[in-house]
Amino acid sequence: MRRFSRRQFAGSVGAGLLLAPFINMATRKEAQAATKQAKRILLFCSMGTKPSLWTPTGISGETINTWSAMTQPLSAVKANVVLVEGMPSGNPNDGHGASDSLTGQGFGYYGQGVIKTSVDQFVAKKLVAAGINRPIGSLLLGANTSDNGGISQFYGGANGGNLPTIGSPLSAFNTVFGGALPSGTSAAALLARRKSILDTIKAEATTLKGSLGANEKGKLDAHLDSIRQLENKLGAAMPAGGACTKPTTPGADSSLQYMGGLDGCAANVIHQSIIASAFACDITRVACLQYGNDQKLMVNAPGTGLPYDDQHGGFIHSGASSNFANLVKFEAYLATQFVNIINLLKGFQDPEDSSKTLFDTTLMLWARDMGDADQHNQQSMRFVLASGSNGGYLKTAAGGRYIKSTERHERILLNVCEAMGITSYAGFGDPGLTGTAKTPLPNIAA
Amino acid sequence: MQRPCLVAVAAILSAAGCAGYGSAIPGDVGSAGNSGTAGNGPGTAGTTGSAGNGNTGTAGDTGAGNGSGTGNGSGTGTAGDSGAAGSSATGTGGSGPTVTPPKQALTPANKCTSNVPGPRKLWRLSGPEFAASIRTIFNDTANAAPIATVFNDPTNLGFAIDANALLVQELNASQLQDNAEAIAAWAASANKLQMFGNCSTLDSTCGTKFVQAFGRRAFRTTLAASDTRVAAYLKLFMAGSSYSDGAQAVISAMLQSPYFIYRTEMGTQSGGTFTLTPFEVATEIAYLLTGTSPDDTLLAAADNVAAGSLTLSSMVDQQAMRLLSTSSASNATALMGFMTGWLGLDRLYTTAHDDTVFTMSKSVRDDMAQETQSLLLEAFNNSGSLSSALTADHTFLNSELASFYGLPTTGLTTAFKSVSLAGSTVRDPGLLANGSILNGYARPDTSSPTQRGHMVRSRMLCQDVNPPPPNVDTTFHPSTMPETTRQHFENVHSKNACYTCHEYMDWIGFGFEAYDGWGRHRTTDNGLPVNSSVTVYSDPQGKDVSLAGLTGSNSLASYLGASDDVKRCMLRYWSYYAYGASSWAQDGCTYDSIYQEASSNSFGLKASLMAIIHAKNFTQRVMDQ
Repeated sequence: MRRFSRRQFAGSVGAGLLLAPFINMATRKEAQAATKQAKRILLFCSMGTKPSLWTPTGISGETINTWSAMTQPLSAVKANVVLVEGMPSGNPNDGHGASDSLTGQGFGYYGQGVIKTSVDQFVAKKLVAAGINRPIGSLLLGANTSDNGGISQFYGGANGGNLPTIGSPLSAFNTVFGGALPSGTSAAALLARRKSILDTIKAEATTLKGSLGANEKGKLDAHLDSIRQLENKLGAAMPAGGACTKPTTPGADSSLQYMGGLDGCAANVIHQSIIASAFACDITRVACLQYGNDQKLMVNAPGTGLPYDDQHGGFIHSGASSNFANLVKFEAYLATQFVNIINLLKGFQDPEDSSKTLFDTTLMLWARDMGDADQHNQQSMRFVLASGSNGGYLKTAAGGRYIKSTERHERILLNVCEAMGITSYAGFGDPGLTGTAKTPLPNIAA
Repeated sequence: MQRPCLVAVAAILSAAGCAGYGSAIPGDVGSAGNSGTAGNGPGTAGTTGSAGNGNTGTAGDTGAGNGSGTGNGSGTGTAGDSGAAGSSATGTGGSGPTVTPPKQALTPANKCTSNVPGPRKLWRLSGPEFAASIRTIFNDTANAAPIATVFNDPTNLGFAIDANALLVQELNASQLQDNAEAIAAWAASANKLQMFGNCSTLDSTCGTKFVQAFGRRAFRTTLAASDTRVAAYLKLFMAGSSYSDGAQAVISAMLQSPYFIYRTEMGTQSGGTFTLTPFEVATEIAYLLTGTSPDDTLLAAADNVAAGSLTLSSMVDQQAMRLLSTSSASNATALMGFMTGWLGLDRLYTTAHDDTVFTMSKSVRDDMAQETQSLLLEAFNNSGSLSSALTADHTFLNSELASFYGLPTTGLTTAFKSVSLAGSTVRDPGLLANGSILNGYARPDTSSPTQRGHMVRSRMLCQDVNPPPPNVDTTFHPSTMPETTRQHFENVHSKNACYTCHEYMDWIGFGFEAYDGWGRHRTTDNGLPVNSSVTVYSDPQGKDVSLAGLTGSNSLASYLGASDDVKRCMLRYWSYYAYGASSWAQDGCTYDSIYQEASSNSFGLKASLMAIIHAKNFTQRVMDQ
């Protein structure tokens, strides 16, 4: 594990970070809760899969004896993962593009007062309400998530809007860590200028709003909210100490091109490092990494034996003749990436508790847009949860745990909330779920 | 209602169930429409009713999907109550109206009762427009400016241009700031500052010149000295430590300004309508025809209109014709920006093919793209129509592409030239036989009658088809017996409920069976004779009669070239591309006027584009809701 002194931290990060030098950051006191709590969540989002090829092939009770080819790479971290499947969404016949995955709601499920907020956004909002106000509320990364008419349907904003990911690794890096301080100016001077500029821009947006109808005003409201998030980032303090290091500055997008577009898999590898460092520097507590969208992911994965093809159209819908051999390979690749992130997090100490790694204090959730991507349904949603061994949220087993549940899949999303110390779920998920059904799935938390 | 599978219309073939096909997501958030049928094919979805905005609308039977609204509160959708205003919390979504999600299908035109134009709007620059505009501002012909990738926009109906989908949200403001600062620093280091104001002192006179000069290009308008924005930006300038520092501050600020980021189409009110300002119209012309901000000639023309020495309509005609002159290099932008999205031409590069069956080089793909562009541009520049391109007796080839097609290469070089294919038995002429289309609508290892037929049905005829119903096995099962691709698709899709949808697609797509998945001509498939007979069954809504007796892409092209449905469909999609909105109250007024003018000019491609520019909606609007 990399452990850096305060001096090293300042040397490696301070010169490049143009955040205000102020101020006390509210630190969350560890709750005296029965469940162990995480400090951050990382959602790993991909398409649905072929259930019969995902399920471990040897299971005794909850013990995984034999992993499927798809999930075999997870065995490297088996002591830290819990596989869950069998859980229907609220709309089991929903398929592509349904936002059930992270919101608990889908195409046909809208009632009065229902807001389609994804769990990451719900958690981000709750953190702010609890006084945990990091420079970036939620970091949504993922390349090529808008291709071919697909959208980032995973993430629903706190007010119901669909949120895009940042696809460009360089743009993500600059957004998280800031660019280099220009020569001839100081951080304070630059901050003052930025604030002046933002004041000017906000005034312009407000002026424009004045003569517009509701719909057009909404566009500027979204813009102003984005500016508020920027102002929050500019005004937030950096943590002291810890193992905060920036990853290497990514190259321009032009260096990540393949077949005329951004290489999604390659870009997402860089995004993994950005997320890990963003956690290490406590720039955010909520991060999501998305592979493709609900319709498409062009896969260029050298070394895997996979052809350049679209995950959905190629591996999923055209894979029967080979018993989905390419889908299995790609799912194994994704599992490898999931493990890679775990290893990255293990390599950083928690910025507030040097006795723990980031992985110990992070809950990872691998979620999908559908259960069965081949049959286009959500009758059995599946997840992979992961947390560290030193006080991690999950109840784990040495050989890995497998749980099959017929409870609504939203309950796992509530586990994510519970892991972050959130016990009130009002405003999230299916309002029709009440009582026990509106609680985290038992036997998940340690 | 499910969102159908956008992918692989052709990649999905089942021995027991229906093949899936592509479609866009129906919208959600708020009420979706009535029983529209979800569409298929790239970018089209079911005919759903207006998505309500406000987060309390109820989704309809179909068309639920994801919207891109932010904030909550009352909206103008057809359903959905006003949601409670959210609380504004630092770093998360605040309160405010929600933006109506884009329509996911071309809904029927709204009846015209009083010849009104569409509503005013703000239209954020698309990602390509954003980058192009920055290059235009600085005359950066070398593409040296370090422009960041800021926006990650969804495609809708085949295009990433919907004014309700292009938002600035979440971390975009941070990305815009980073980009603006990097551009400003580059401009200083690249000696670009002198382009604006031609002075170099840190004083109010120079500062005002700089603000006005840079602002003219960035905001696409003339900033009078009395404009309050001049004073605001002068203040930023004067806070600089030097001329360069002040200038960089102005550049950084203006490139983050809503006046740069958005195209305003708001106008000045006169009675019940708003007449767009000369600069707003100049901006429309520029982005539609050149994909970037107005050049100096266009801005000067707008100045003349503002001064009263030129009428708005004269400016529109003069400048449009200037930019669309036959030799204009921007004609490719004007035409292909639309055609690429409408016909899905970029699928040439994104549709995966099985290299173990056949490997096609990127160079050949580039050749195919050039072939199609040349054919369409020829029609455009010579007053031809879509039919001209469909029924051309020639195509455009270079030696490499001719060789790939199995055609003689005599007299051909690396340059493209028109090659007659009249009477050819090796290849059909015309657009439908272009490799760009044949490759883009194919399975990885074979042709795809479903994909190709679906493209024709949904994109060219604007006749949507239902997606596969839930829980139907859409797995592709390869053939297990000696049969052609056509026979395989016929055998599977004639069964059960599959036929009810696939008849509308596959039986058109069979007309392309003389070409494999890579666009290579064939007379046999799996050793058996190819059958490319076509039946165009009446549209899913049953308005037309079925048509049989066509064979091959040539006769299909003749049918489509003569089809009024295709003409109207093209104009409808082109209107969407031009106006950034697929539907508004009484939009039928606009579509009717465009159709009438295009018809009077034999639906020439350039004339069709001019008809869109001449429509009242291009220069006038009503109050937005």
